[in-house]
Amino acid sequence: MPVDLNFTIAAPLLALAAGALLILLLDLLFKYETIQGPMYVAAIGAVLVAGWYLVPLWQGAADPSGFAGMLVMDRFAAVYGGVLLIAALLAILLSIGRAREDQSGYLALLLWAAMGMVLLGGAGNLMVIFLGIELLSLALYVMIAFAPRRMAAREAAFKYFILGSVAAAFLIFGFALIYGATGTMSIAGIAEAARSFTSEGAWAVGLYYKVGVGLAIVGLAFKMALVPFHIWAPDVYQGAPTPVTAYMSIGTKAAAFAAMARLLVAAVPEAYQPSFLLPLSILAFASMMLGASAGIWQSDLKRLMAYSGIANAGYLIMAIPGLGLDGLSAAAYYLGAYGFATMGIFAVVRILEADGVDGSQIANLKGLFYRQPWVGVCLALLFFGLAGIPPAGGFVGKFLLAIAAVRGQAWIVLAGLILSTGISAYVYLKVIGTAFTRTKEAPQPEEGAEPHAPTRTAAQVVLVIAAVGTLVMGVLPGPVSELVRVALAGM
Amino acid sequence: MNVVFIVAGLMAIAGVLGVILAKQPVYQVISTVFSFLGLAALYLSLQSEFLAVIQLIVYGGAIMILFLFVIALLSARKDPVEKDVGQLTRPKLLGYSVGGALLVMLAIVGLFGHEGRLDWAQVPADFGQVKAFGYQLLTTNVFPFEVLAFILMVAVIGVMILVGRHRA
Repeated sequence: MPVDLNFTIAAPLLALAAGALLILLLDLLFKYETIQGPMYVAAIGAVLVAGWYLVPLWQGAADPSGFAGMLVMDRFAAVYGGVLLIAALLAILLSIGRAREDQSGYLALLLWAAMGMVLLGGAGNLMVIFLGIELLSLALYVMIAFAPRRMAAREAAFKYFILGSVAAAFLIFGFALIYGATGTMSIAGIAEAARSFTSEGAWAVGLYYKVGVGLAIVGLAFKMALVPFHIWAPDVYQGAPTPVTAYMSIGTKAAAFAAMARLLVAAVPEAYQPSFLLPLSILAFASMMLGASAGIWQSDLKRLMAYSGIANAGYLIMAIPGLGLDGLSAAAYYLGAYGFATMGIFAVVRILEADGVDGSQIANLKGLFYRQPWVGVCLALLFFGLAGIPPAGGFVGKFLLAIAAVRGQAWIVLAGLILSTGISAYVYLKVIGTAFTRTKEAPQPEEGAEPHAPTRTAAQVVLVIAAVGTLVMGVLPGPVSELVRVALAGM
Repeated sequence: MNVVFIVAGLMAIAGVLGVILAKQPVYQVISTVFSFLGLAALYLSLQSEFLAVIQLIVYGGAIMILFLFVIALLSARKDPVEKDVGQLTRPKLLGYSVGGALLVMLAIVGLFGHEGRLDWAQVPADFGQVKAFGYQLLTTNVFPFEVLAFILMVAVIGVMILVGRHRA
């Protein structure tokens, strides 16, 4: 059998990988002081080139499958890849201004993590899912620790590493059991085998298969931070450097969700999805409630965003019970809206950090509107987006997800959405209220921290992009959701 | 169930228990090697000769020796690294209960999961041999193989970052 090479579909991944290698090479060949700008240009360029190669895949490639079915860059992969590349682009912009540290390695790891994420969306084989998870996780473990002289970052990285390894063990054990039940690692093969498990006309799966799928879900749920596999999230979000937190909060979630959707679409026949996936719905309900209500007591914005991320992972699961076109396009839309809102909020943290202030303390947001009016307005808009209040994109995203949940008859998650949205609206409005409280005293910069203008400019650019993105997705939902729907319809 | 399976399986379990229960890192590493020996024997009994040899050479040999070097370099002393183990009672209980639940679940799957399982007759004749392994690795599985190269690259670059190469 000849080797089945298909570089058309692998091009986005190759662009990201090559970009990372180019950055390392630039660092090697030129003087470090002069090459920092070009390194960022190369990183942004790599992401843009990868996006360029995604466009024909978005329109539907002639043959989306390659490498003996290992990589399936169909329209589903292209849509999720698009979301992930936008996240990577904004994260690179947010990272500008880390002058004293080893930026070439950081940027290379960021691009490789993006490669792992895009790979997860296009995985056609259980092995590729595992490798994608490992690629993005290993890169993130290091990136989280990438804050010299901050023990919190090291602690966060170590916690994430240990718990992530356990989750990987669950994942691979699940895959082994699925392989034992179906005799194949290929997702298409699993889909075929899963539909052949019948006895007396009903779907009958053995214990191997059930436990295998269950363990695989546990492994992916850990990456998505679903309750009860969320314990790492608050500490890691708080400890990691702000751009890394922003990147992982959207990137890991979107990638793990794409892999989970791909696996479950194959592993569970349509008619049995609601009942087979009931345990997952219960996890989603618990995530929404805990994520929303634990936010009430947080005084740290990054921890608050971690709990918000837990709740949002629960919302994404709403797309799972029906697992139809509605659900998957709604989830992609919601991920876009959530991504813009989250990125923007972390950009605000970064703007404060650029002045030497600890931006993750909610108390330091006090009076933000009166010092930097448009930053305050953007912050309010972005939190509206998270809470699901018009005119921000989160509203439309939640609306689409609710429709998908009704069609999938997932009443548990729908109830969770309604209850937790109410609670989280209170939490988010409290933060907005802090930013709009009039105060005379400005927050004190930390000792030894100096204002850094390029960091501020880059973060402001990200904030503007995020705010505009949120607004467009909220005011003009038609074109965007139609784009996603049409793209996914040909799946 | 034959004798080889029982002996090798018990050896692997004893080794893993030693990793958890031993107080000194060096003993833990030796227990790991012991458990890897058991695993290699298990692979042999499943007709995976190549995997068994790789397990011995790469894991039992190279990687464990590396572990020993690291331990010798970092903590060549008698007292354990953890000073206040007493604080960890609650996480310990949680860990035991989760691990116990997992053990019970997997035992049930292993003992009673016969009906939904692949038939051994479906395994190809040249399963586990070097030639078949190498052929599969570079034809059907060439894509995962190449992705693995990037994972190793991430590890190399990651170590460089973690040791802190500062540039002013």
